[in-house]
Amino acid sequence: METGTIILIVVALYLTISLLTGIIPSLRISSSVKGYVAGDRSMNVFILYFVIGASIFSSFAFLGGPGWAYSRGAAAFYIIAYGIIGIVPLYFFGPRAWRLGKKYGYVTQAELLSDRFDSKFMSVMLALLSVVVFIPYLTLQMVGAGYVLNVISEGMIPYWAGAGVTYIVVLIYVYFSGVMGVGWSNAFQGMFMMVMAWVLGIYLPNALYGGIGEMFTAIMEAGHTAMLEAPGFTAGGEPWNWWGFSSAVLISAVGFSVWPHFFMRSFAAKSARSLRLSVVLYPTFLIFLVPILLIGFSAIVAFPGVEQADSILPHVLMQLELPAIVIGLFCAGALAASMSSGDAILHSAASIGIRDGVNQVLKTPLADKTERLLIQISVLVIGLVAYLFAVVIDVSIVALLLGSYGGVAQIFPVIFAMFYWKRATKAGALSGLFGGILVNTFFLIFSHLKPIDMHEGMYGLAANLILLIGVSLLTKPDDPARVEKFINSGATRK
Amino acid sequence: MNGRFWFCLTMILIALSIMWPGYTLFSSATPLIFGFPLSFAWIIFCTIAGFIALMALYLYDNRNEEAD
Repeated sequence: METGTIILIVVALYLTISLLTGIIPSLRISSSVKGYVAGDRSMNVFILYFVIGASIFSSFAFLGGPGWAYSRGAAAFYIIAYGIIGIVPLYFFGPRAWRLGKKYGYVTQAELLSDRFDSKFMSVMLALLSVVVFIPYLTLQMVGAGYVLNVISEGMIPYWAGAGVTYIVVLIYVYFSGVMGVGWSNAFQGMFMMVMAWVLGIYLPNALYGGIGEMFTAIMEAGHTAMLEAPGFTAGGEPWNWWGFSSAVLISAVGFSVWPHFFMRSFAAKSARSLRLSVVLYPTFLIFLVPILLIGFSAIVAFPGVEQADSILPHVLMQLELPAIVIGLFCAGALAASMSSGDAILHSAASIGIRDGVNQVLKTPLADKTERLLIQISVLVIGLVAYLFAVVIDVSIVALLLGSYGGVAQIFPVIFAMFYWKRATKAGALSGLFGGILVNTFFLIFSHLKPIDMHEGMYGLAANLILLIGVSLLTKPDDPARVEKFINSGATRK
Repeated sequence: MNGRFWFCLTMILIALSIMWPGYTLFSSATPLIFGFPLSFAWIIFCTIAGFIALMALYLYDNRNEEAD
């Protein structure tokens, strides 16, 4: 059989299994908004583990990770480093959000915040912010899928068709099954990716150099020792400084647990304990980034001079004369990475946009059935918009996404204050959140004005904290009854 | 001094180990540890340490808190 046909069969098989694992759960959840957005709060540890883990295994990890290792060396360790501390807040926030959700019916992050700080405005703004950030995020996942299929099929599958077919599958299962479809398909995609990454990450250093130690020795002997010294290089090829590295780790870690699509999975958990256990097991997913980076390192000596670092993985695979079935499996692995993040983002963008945005500005709240239907329609609309961006992509979208990390990190202080600081007030929270976002955006655009070469999110956080604390202390305390509800959401001690 | 205090302390130490200033002590390429450069092996070690700390906190909390 021809190579191209075998690759296509493997990919088609993978997509069919994804579709089935995504569709079947729809038979079991209720037809309410709670069922669609929070899976009737029924996710067990197994599914939650993959949902939480898959959120970082996007196209960025599968293509960008090896690309970073290849072009920026030790800078790539940043991708593992921030996850270790970034997951910790969710251990504390998650169960509190879950308890409040169970008692009062919350299913999104903005619902919690707007109730604590008594501000519909905050909910609507957060919804807007989420949708603005999620669309480019989703676009990048589609670009990744289209790109991989195009390169591996040597142009046989056009870019627009690859992205289109993959995301039609995602649209179908997200439309019908909501979060449970995301959960079950992520479990399948996650296991698949893990196997592919370990196989490739161990196979490539062995095939090209005879082992992992031998590979790193070869990199040093070729005069690239500096690549292996932290903090590595910047995107421009200059040595990265510790300010830059440390502030990037810190901002990504701070923002990690409060990404709206990530945070809201807390509401889908079966119990506070199962949520906690999935958080505890998260670092095992991080270890799975190790082989991903090994793939990139393996190409430094063997395939020098590849201009587009993100294409290093497909590039290496095409050079190796691997059996067609292996290439097909890799292709499916890259699609799994793209889809397992893409589906979660798509689902959250639609849920948040309708529930926290549209529903808040209406005079009479939507009926449950109408709301669910509107969310489903938004899934289709947002999918289509992101696809249009993907087909006419330009650089500004990548920049928009990178800029959003600093913006999302600004949600952290208000979440923390919601659970742990009684004295935080509505005015303080609003000015902190939006002041932080403004300062972050300012230094993102005018980066030459930064006093020290740190991540712009750090400046945002500084302004955010000053405003949150300062304005809160200057204004009257919020209604104690409302505040206590959130402060006392911890577990009962024995 | 409860378990949560020790956990937070451990996590702050880990945080300082994976960026400035802790990571600067382990940032060199050599020696190779199990074939990995020191800078890489250190990050892997910190990930495992973080996992153990989380696991310990989970067990501690389960013993001291009501399930819900």
